[in-house]
Amino acid sequence: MKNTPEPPARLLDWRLGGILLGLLMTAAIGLLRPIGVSTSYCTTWGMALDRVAPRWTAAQPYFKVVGTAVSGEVMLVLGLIVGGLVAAMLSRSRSRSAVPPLWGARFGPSPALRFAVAFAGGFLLLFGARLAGGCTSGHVLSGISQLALSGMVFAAGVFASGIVVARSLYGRLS
Amino acid sequence: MNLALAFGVGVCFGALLQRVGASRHELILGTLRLRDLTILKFLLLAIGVAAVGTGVLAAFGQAHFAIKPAYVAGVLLGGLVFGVGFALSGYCPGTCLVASAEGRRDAWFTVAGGFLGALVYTLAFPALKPLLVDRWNLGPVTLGQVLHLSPAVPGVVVGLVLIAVALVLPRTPGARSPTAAQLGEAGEGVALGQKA
Repeated sequence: MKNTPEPPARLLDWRLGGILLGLLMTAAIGLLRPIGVSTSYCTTWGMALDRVAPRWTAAQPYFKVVGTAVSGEVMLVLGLIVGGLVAAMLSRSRSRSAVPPLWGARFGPSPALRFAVAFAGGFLLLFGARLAGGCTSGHVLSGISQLALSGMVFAAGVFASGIVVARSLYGRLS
Repeated sequence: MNLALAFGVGVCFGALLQRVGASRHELILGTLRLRDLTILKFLLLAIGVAAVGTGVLAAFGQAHFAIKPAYVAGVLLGGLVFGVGFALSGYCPGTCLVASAEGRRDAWFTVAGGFLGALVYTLAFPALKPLLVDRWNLGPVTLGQVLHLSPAVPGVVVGLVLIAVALVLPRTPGARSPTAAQLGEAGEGVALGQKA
């Protein structure tokens, strides 16, 4: 679990990436439905718990909302993982880093501290996303591109607290 | 629902996020610290292109809209909680999966924390629903409905505005001294400015 340096960043230009993602989102809305990710975390729990404790699972009100069977969104999330892996392999940009460079410069090389905060962050991400009914994909990307008021309210909340916390965590570090 | 097609959309989505660098902690934090807005510009451009594209689809009756309800208190509070997690982890629910697939060890912990957060919300839902979801719920409202316009027109207009904002926003705002690349691009202009 040693902290290997980042591979050099040979990334896709944000303009080309943005246009391609916009076209992909348009295709998704034209052919299927808008892109979303965070519901699948709950659907996955539903699928797993339905096998272990079907009666208890069926009684949970939120599993009635998100479902307990493979959905299009679950398939999209599986594709997301495969696509990320394949793109990283083809571009030789796989990383084994445990501590991101910016984090290391501010909080030191301890993987344990980084893992604990990354875990807490993940908890807040999904609790917040499920409370709001969507995440960066469903609310911000898909929601705002459909001009949904909910997406705009969510984005305002995300950037308000995100900017305050990020700036107070890292201060004037360049 | 076409499961195979959804999988294909996911593959393209994951590959794009990985290639642009959206799965990198330092680029997410660059945007949240307002130091390097690459990811914000990328998101705004994608939303702008999709808003125009969706507006055009809507004009031909081909858009499969799925508008999420605006229960203002829950959505805003959820966004605020999400933003804290975003800044702490440097990932979002999608990019932590991409980063995990890339091999980033810390992203695995973000995914694990995410599953716990999703389970806790599932259990807390009956208690939270009457407080935050049922209250102040405006329903699935869009800007078009507020302005009494068909979805096509505001989609194209807002989309073009977002594309313009994405292109105009500086990539590294507030940089105290110009970077080497900027000096190279500005060339003579900077040298003249220093003499004056």
